[in-house]
Amino acid sequence: MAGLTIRGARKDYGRTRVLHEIDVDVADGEFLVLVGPSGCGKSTLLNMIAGLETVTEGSILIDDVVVDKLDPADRDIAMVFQSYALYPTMTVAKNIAFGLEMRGVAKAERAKAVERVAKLLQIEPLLNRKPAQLSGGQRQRVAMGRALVRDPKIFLFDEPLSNLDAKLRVEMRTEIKKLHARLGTTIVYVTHDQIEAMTMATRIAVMNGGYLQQLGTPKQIYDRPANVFVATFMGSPPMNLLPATVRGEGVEAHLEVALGRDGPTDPAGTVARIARAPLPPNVAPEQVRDGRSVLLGLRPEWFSEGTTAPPGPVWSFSHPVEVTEPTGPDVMALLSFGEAGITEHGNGELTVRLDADHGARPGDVLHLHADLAKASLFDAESGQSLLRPSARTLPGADDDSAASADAA
Amino acid sequence: MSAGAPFPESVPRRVLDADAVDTLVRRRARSHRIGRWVIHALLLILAAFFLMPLVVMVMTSLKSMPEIRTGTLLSLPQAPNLDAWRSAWSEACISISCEGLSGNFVNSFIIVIPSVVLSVGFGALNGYVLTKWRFPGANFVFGLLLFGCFIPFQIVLIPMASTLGFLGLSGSYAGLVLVHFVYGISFTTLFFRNFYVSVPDDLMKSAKIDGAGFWAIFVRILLPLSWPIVIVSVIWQFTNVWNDFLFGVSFAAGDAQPVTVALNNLVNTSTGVKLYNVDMAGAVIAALPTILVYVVAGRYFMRGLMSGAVKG
Amino acid sequence: MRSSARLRRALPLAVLSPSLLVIAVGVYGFIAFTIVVSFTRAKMFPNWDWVGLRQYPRLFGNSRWETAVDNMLVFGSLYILASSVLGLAMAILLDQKIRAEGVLRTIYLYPLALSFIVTGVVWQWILNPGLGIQKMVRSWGFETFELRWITDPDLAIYCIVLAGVWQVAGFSMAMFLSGLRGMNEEVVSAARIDGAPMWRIYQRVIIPALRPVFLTAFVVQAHLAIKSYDLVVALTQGGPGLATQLPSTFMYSTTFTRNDMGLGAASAVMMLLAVAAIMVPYLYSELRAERPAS
Repeated sequence: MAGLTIRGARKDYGRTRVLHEIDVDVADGEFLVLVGPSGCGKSTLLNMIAGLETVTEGSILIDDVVVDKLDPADRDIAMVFQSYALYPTMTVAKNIAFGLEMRGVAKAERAKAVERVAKLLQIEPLLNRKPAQLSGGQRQRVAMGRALVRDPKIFLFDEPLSNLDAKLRVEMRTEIKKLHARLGTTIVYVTHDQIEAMTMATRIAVMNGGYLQQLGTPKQIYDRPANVFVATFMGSPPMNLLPATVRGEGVEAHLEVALGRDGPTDPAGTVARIARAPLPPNVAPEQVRDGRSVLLGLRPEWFSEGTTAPPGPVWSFSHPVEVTEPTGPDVMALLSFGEAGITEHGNGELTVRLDADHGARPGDVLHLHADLAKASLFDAESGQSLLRPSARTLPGADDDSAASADAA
Repeated sequence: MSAGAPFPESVPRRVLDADAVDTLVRRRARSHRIGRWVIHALLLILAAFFLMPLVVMVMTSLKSMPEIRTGTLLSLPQAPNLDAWRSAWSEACISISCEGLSGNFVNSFIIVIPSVVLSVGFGALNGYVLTKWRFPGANFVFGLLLFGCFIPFQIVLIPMASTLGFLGLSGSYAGLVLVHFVYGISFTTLFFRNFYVSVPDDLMKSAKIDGAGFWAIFVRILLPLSWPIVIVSVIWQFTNVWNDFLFGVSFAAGDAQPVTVALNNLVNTSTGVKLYNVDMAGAVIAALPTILVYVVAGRYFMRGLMSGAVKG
Repeated sequence: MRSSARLRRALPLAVLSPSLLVIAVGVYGFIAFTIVVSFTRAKMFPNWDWVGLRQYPRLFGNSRWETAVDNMLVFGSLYILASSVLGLAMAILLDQKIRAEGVLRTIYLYPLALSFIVTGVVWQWILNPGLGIQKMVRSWGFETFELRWITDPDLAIYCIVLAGVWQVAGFSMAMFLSGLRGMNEEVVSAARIDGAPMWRIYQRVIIPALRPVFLTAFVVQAHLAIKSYDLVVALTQGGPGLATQLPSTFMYSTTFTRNDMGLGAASAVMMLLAVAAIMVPYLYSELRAERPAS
């Protein structure tokens, strides 16, 4: 149970810098998830917290004590590995008790501790088996038991669910969350699966290319991504990014969005169809410049469909449906913008979430209203969000996140 | 302590503050440094242990006999000269003739080269057939062939001697080449078979579809990517055949004897005063080719060793 | 058309046939031949005077053979033990991220490239009672140091162990090193986090996990030990007297020098049985383990 502070941490391998200037403050009892694609540096950062890797620059503090020069054994942390890393020649009981044994705990005490953990994780019948005789899920529990039994200050998880099948993964996710609720220990959890991040974290640190992209609550990350990477990495299907241009200044400012050359009134596709959209209300005023290329970010569920526009700032437009994908709970409608929409951030398609009973068919024209109060706007070149910092929190969002740091 | 944690007291805790951390770090760093010193020292001692005989061998071969008698094993040669080498090469008396090791050195090459070519060639073909032209019982046949790697050669000495006599090959180069071929084929087949097993069968299928036949596939497709294993097999066979003694002493006579047999005769059966420098020079001569191969292609040497030890 | 298809199918077997023939005769045929000879009274040449199993009791009662077997057990167990332990130690040392690892590995392994004759000849010189190690250590100030093992019938066998281990330890080192390198890194990390000092990690986690390597190293080295011939011939010629006689030297001298071929054949068969006793169970268990994967 402790707070963790990572200050200005950098990691170099020889001349290659793999982690740049990471600053994270984890409060006591938080569940922090480090998420990002392979190679983004999340595992390296976790290993640095554990002491399995050295810190090239910067420092790591547990409970305000600088620990980055300490051996892993002295940091009072425990770790669950992706491959579970159970000791292959020892029984489950010995595996769990090993850490206690190394710290000189008496045999009777060890046995008691092992039993308590086994009961908590429901692995009592497995205590005398060897790892090779266990299934993946069972091994995972034993690995967690080994970490739990020492009651450390911080739990570290390195992609522990990656080797499990989908069903087991969902089960274990809930179990880990329940354990966290029950024990209240600080957890740092690494995964490449953004669903795991969203469902389990109290706060998420999105990483890419060795940089911290954004640090915030799941809601902040989802609703107010700090840049294009976060916007497209988190959430499935990813956020739509529509190329647009800012036109006008001040109160006159608006967006011109290219809806392609295949409009319903122009089957030959000779006329560029430009829609005029209002500027999202949360854009920082100083970022508004005539002629600026931007990307309008709209998640599929931020559209409503119908003849009447909902109240609030909206952008209404009509467009034919190209493909529908029923997912069960809803229907995803794909609209095509032709060549005009093809950029490095998208293939010229807009995905819109409709009710399962909507009944739209390919070729039907949808009358869409995009909720601009939720929309994001990104600079087309840098990918950075152009929204006002104070708007990074949404009405009704978690309170302490107003001061959350994010590297931009 | 965490609220709701089921383990209130079991683990001994260390109170961590800045001072405690400092002491820990310093203590660990010191023991780590001592550890590194010990490790390096041990490695150096071991290196000395392994190098010492080589050093002694070379140095002794460069000394004169009086110097050897007055000095010690590791004393440096005062006036290093190649007299002992010259003697070992062309003058030393081995059993009846006094012509040194030069003839035997050449003999070894005459024996080794055809043996290597034959056993590697057939090994490659065998590996090819066993992995790419599956027939029922292919694994069983492989097992049968493999057995030759394990037998103690004493078990075949008697019949081989009779057979060579029967074929009129006793004591000749051809006889020894045949012997080395027979007992080398098991190893080379093992190497090539294991190598070709990992070549994807899809290569074969597309070649067959393209109309390639048995030989075409072998020559055009498999051989070009076989270089690593060819080198491994050649080095393995070269080393084993060159270093062989048992077959040499059993089946080669007089003029046809390989250098290992001659060296042993020189050192252990010559009469008269023991000339240690000549003995060592002879050892250097006998060892030179395989040491050179090792130095140049050590990586492949290793690979051969490892795959020889890891069965089927 | 049918004949060419049959020819095509026969081609692979035809290609295999020289090797199969050669092995059938040279390995299986010859083994059978030797076994048969061991049932005869052959002296200088094979003959067919059948005596059944009588050569075997003759063999077991032969004092030279007894010495050879005793020596084999002493030599074999020491040789296997010493090279395994030394090899493991070297592998662990080399696994510690040493900068000069490549150079050191080359040094530890080069003896494997040498003929046993060269090894025997060189070590014979090094262990020379008057001019070898004894003289060298005395010259360093230890006036009473003695190392005359090679002339001592009771101790000469240890000279062979020494030279043999020197030659072969590198091999077990290579096997252990690749075993160490193939281990799951995360298990070691877990042990570090659990608070185990490095030596403990080796003792409780790493070395137990190397059990299969120990087994393979044992089998290969046992095999080498049984076949040892060249080394003994070059180092001690089986002496002093018969003190370092091994089954392999017994077989050779009995067959070709003492012209007692039947007895020699029997000793060769015993050697084969010894090798089979080790290899057959090992191969059987290896093949069985592999079967599901293949």
